[in-house]
Amino acid sequence: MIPNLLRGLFGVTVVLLIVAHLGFVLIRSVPGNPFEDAKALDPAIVANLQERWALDGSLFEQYQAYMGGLLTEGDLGPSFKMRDVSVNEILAQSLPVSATLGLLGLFVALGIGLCAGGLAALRPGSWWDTSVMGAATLGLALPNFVLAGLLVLLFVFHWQLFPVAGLDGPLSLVLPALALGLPYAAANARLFRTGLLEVLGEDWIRTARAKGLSPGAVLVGHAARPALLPVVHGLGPALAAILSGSLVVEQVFALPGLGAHFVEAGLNADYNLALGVLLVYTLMLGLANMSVDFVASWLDPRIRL
Amino acid sequence: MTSELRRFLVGLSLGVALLLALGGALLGGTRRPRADFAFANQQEIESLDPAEATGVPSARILTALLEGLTRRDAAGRIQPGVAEHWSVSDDGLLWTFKLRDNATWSDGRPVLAEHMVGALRRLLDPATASRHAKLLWAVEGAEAYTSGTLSDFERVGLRSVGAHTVEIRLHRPLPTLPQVLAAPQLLPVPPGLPERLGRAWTRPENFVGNGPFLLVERRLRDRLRLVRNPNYWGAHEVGLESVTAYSADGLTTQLNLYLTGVVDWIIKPPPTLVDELSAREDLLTGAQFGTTFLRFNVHGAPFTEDARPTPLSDPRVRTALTLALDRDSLARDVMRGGHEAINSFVPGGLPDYTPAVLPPCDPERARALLADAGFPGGEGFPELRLLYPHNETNRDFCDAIATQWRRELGIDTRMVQQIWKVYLDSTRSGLYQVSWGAWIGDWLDAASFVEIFHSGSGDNRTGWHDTEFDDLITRASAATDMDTRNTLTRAAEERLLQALPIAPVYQRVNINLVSPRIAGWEDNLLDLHPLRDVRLADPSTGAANTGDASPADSAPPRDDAR
Repeated sequence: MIPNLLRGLFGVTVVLLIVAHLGFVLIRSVPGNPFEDAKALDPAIVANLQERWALDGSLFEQYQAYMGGLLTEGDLGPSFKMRDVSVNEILAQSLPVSATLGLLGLFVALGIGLCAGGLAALRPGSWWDTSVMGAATLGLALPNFVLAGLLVLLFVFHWQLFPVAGLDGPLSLVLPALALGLPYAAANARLFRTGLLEVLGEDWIRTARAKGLSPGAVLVGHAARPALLPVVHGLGPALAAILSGSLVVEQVFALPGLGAHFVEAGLNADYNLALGVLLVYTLMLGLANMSVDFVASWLDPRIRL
Repeated sequence: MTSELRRFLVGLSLGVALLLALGGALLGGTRRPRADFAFANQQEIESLDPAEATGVPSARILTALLEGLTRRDAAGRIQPGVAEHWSVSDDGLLWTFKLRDNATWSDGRPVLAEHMVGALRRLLDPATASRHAKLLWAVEGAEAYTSGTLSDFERVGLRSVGAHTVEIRLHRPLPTLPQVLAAPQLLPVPPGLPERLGRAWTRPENFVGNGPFLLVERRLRDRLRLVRNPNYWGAHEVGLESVTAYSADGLTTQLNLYLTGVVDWIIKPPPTLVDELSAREDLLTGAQFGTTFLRFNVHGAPFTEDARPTPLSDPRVRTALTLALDRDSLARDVMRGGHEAINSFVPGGLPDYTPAVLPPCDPERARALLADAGFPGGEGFPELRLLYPHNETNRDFCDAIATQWRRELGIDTRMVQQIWKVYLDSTRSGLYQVSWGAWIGDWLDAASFVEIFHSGSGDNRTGWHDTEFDDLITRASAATDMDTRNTLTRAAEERLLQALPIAPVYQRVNINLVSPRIAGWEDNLLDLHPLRDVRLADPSTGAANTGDASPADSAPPRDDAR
């Protein structure tokens, strides 16, 4: 277990380093620069700016300075666009928002997905099964910004239940979490139902039933664990998608998460912020994939890490 | 339902509830009652340090927290700020500003002349590296000080005389100086604070201002909370006790915030919905001091290389392309939302300037000119590439232009879209043939608008040089009075519209949705709306009673809107 964990962490670190190096070079190779503005700047002022923001050295010198700060102090540098704060401060404020939203989205994806899929598998071919699978297909087809719009229309304008945007207490996280999680709940429902139906046909399930267990107990106690495997394997990509999906959802609901920073930093040539958010995303994805592997091996001990 | 299933469901619901409660409590910050006035301040502000700040969202907040020598009122007119009155010498070079003696910082210290000069010095200092230092380059020695060739600030024309007098000596006359001094970038900073705290001085717990409001909360990309500053000299004129400025990027999100009563003012409703919203009493539109135009690369090559004349280097071709455009249709049918075609480069609306006149759409003459230039019916004319910064409105606009050129002149146009920063790089370097362009004035002055096409201006971006035009601009900027300045500028604008390195298309408009709860908000050419002058139409509906403001739909129409 411990050696596996260490091996996993080592892998994530290597990926992070590669992403940091590639990101550093790629973002600086895009035309335009942080000081490019609608109104042109005088060359004397550009020179002052470059010196002040340490962009006057060669690419290699800038690279040395950046990596030095990053590796020795974990300093991701100043933001070129939001000039009152450092990238570390921006991440410290926005990461908890995105992480909470992502976790809630995951709860929605798993909670609703597994319940719906499980109930559908109990009575295959029933009206319930048909309508759940129909809804799941629809949920899969709807992009999250359309879903977000629908949710706003229904739960903000039609029934005034939730705030329309902004971060004001727990209620303001409900609609974003639904918009983020529902498409994956749909995917999970389908995966779990298929997995269950396959497992429920096995001999050992028949044995469990023969022992007199209720259908619910068979489902939760015996069939669920192996049937969860396809869902868990899908979670890695789903986590990635939930994270990147939050870019859109955060914008629709004006939530101060990482997503908006990522998009804006790229568009504004805010090198340090773009790279900082990229590294955080990479780290989160690496850790998420690692956890998925561990859960999968727990569910099915035949899977070796 | 089995006990395992029940346990699973109960656990799941508890987990979600806990996460929601924790998330909401941890992330939500301090719950405060709704402010007297809330608005969607578009993007997150870039900085609360005037020397660093760019963009209108920052300006809206800074002008509420700080006050310069002069300031703008709700109608956009210049009013005394920290300076009570001012005078200028006959040669237009020496300005003397007398400061009011009751102006104080929010920590109780008086605002002194040396503070105002210190802030301007800080802006010019090369170590500050402010993008806005150039605003003051009409001041004697200022450019050399910023460029680092002059290190002795004594030789810069900025001086405090006693506690309440600021003297500004210019090297060329600038009749618009009081307007320039109202720019948010020239606002003062609390003496000693930036030096002591670095960029942390802009945090709410450290911020000291001299404006009508105080900063009490700032959450990045979320909101700023301001409250009335009791120490402000004009506190009795300030109508709001509290203000919340939300950061909200999405236009639809902003509209939703307005329609649900969360905010009382949004700046730009989604363009696709403007037609639908146009019947509303609270949709306020008006002309803006800005022009959208097309830019031709006259140089025919990147600006760092030698010129390689192309058909666009021929004024007849540029005139043909300009006259072939049906500007009325582009403004009204494509842009919609109250846009009007423009027949000049300088936008209309200035009280003391009559813009030069661009002939109306004339496809007949356009075809003749094109034939004259060697391309009858567009034959042999190379495909044009039209560059625009990526967004849907620009795409529709450029698409309509391509259609008109095809129809009237037989010229094919390929559209090229780039993200904003890349677009700016391309136009600055001359890596384009024809491009979308827009210019919005920072203050109401025709000369500052036309002078961007001076051959030495970084904003020219067309490669067009004309010695007579340059000469007129130079003479206009040396004029001591507005009349001479405007006469010379008008002659330069005529010259520009003869050569047409650009094709003006429409005057930009302000589109605001303003709740009828609000008074003291006026549409103006610069689309600037100082919070100092905003008040509640009915003060009894203040903060305490507006926890659930009624949707704007059901509110009575306002009568003091324009």
